[in-house]
Amino acid sequence: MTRDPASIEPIAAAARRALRAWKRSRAVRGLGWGLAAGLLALAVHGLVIELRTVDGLRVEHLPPLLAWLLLGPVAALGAWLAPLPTARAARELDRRAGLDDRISTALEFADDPSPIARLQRIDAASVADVAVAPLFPVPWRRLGPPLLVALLLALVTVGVSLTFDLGRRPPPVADGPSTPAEDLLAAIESERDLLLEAGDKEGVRLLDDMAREVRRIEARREELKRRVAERKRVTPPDPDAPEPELLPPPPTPKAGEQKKRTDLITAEDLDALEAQLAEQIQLTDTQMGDLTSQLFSSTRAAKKLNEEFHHHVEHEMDATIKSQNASQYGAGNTNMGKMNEKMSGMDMLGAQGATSDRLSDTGDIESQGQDMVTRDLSAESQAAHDGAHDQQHSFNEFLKDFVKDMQGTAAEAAMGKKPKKGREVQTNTGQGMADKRDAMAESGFQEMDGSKRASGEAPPEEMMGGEPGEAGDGGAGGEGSGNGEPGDGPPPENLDNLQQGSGEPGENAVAIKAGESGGQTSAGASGAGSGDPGAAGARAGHIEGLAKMGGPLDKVLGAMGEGAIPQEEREQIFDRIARHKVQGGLASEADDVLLDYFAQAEELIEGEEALSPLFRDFATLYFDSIRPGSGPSAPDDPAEADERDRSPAP
Amino acid sequence: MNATDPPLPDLTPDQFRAVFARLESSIHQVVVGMDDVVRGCLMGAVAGGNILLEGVPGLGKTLLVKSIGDALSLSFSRIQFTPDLMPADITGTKLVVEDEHGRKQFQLHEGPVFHNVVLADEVNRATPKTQSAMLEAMQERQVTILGETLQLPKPFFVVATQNPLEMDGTYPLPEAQLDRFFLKLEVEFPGLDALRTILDRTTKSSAPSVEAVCDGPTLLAMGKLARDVMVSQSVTDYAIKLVLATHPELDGAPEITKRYVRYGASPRGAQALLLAAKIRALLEGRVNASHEDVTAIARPALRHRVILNFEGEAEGIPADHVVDQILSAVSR
Repeated sequence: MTRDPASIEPIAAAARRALRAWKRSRAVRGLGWGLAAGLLALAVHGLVIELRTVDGLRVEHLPPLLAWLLLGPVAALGAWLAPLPTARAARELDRRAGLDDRISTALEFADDPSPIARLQRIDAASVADVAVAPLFPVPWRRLGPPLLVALLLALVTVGVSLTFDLGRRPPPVADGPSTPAEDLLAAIESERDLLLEAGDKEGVRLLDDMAREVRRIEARREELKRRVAERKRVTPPDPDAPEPELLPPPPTPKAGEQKKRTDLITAEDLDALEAQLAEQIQLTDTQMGDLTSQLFSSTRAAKKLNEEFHHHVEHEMDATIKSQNASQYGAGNTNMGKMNEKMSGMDMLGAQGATSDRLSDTGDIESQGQDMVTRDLSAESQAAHDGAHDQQHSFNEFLKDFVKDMQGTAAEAAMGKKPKKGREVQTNTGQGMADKRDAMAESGFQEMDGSKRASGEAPPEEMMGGEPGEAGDGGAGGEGSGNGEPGDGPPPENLDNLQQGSGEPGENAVAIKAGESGGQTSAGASGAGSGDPGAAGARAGHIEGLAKMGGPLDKVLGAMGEGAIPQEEREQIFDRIARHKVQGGLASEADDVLLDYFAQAEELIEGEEALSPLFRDFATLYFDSIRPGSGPSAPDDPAEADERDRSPAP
Repeated sequence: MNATDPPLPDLTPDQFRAVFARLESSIHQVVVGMDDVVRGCLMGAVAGGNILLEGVPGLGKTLLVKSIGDALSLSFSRIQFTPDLMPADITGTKLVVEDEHGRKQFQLHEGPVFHNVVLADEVNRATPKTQSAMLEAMQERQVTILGETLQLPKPFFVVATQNPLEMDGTYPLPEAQLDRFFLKLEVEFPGLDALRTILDRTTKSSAPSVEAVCDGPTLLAMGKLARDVMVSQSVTDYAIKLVLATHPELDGAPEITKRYVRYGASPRGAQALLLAAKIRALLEGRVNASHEDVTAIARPALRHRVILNFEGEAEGIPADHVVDQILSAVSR
């Protein structure tokens, strides 16, 4: 089958080839011009950074500078995507190939059936096989020189700026009264003009050096101030607390580096000024804590510490879950015994500490316990196995939160920082726990139940017993109850009851502070702050319970219970521990981690180069002050200290 | 074309080109050189347009026109325009004659315009009244004598000449009449070789003669084929833009137009541009007109249609220079 000689197809194909070649040529041209423009912009931008910033051009500035090179691809893409009709490409092909409008005319009259149009198509088809690519070349001759010049300019500018200091300008000085440095610079400039007129080149050189040194010191000061301000912006301080004035640490002057001059502001002068200001800084303990919180939240070292801390806790929790599961389906696993001990201790703590918030949310746990009762876990059903696993995991999560709340409350109670003015209501903290333990015991946790009985502790009913609303009558004696409902009873008066309640860890009920804030959580031991001897007994029981848990922190707490640690120091320790929330996680593991935390924190902060010396000093001071066994520090508030002094020792 | 006109032969582009080449060759048997002028005159003949030849006397203009008539086998007449030439001398008149019975009656006496090829020699020497008598004949291909309108023979075209030097006692052609010329061709003084050939041919006893290679119907068929040539829209637009660029009152006019041109080309100029471009395309072996065809024909088609202003006349700006600048300024 022969093709019609008057067919428009070869002509249209030639036009399409021309269109592609033209677009390609335009895209490459756009790429070249875009790259040239981007390189020029890069050079100018780099020069501006070099001349307008204090630090000048650095390697960190290169990525945004290199973004200018995207102009090339963008221009190429724009040229390629720009609308270009085929008819126009055909005319351009006619013009460049000298086809005398044959192609474009044939395309325009493609549907004309007249003989003359047919003749024209035949004529156009005879020249349509023209080579298109050479007709639309890339204009390298026109594109090369500007591209090369722009490339060289950019390379030279960036290279020189990275290598040398091209006369950096100090940061702009805010309008206002002139600073001593400005006055000095003005005087230097005036003197320099005089020397310049007199032809004293050596004098001019010395003045230039002097002015450069002054600018360097001023620039350093401004930079340090800027960094401190940025650090403040990262973690906004407590609006209620007075914001301390921060100054960067003074640079260490080198001996013989600069000659002492009385008419210049030297680095030593700045050091003296900053030292004077630093002496005027009187940070309260709260401010110190806020600063340290900022430190923890804004430094990599602190973030790493927190991550390791939580990882450690999670790991411990996973190990506990595995051990419990193993003991649930296997006999005689020793991990289960440990778990039971922990649970026993926690329950004891729960009976003594304050957990009203959490306990109000234990309904789901109790219901899960009921489910476990009704479910036969010894059955062969895999579904039952999974359900039990989930329930056990939920229970462990509950324990984790429980201990965390308990410790925070215990810390506040031990501090006696906020003596209660209102009534104390004892609450049945362990009703849900008791129900759950019963359910678990009935559903296969014989080891747990057995260990509990073996330890001689009070049965769960006694620990958690009582009806809501009756807690106030029992004081801290363990018969109080009421989930968040303040009782009406007076503060505990019977020391015996208190001692009875606090003598055995795990048998004390949680007291709910029924003061002005209603159900605010507070330990039963907080009664000590108000001079209530019953509360003191409760706290002693609490400390004793903590000591049974083992760990360095427990030893500290145990020592506190024995009166080995002075009252103020003890309060300082608890205050800081409570403030910085190091009590998260299981208590026994938290104690171990806490000590590791101190050591790792000191090590990491010492190795943190990006940390400012000021914050490093704060961190060191902080860890020294809160490390167990460290010396006492000044009280935060004299009035508060006096109030604590009036409280009896445990 | 009227219904009574004989049918025109069908010509192919190749036949067109062959006939045209034979015509040129035949004319060049007598006329030495003047290739562009000969081609321009023949293009005018094919298009049915009138040609204005401008050149000093003695360059063979009359010989050229007569040779064209001979080569085309067409009737030829020559009118020497003088200041006392009357319109009736061109168109003819009705005379009172007495028949064989002694009765007197009007009888038409056709003027020299009733020929296929009319040479209006030194057309600018006649009065405007006489010049205007040519307007109707040139454009309408008809004359009116004593209220009677008479059709001129087909094909018909006028070749007028004028002397650019002797301007005393002349009446420059008005713009309206200039616009009626299809092309304005400038006859250059012959070069050395051409002059030697002229002398060689004209000073011997045997003078060369023109061979008739074409006839009227063939010429009309050539004109019809030329009008069928394809023209793309971009080429048409280019011709229009060129014509518009000759008008100084338009915003997009080039600077030289605004400075030296008083009045630009009429739409008839655009028609001449395109039609001449079509004929040139056929002569170049194509059946489509191109931008190059329009560019090549722009000078003869526009030079007499660009009317210079006082400043242009005073500075002696050639019309061709203005057209060249317009060609440079207008994009394709």
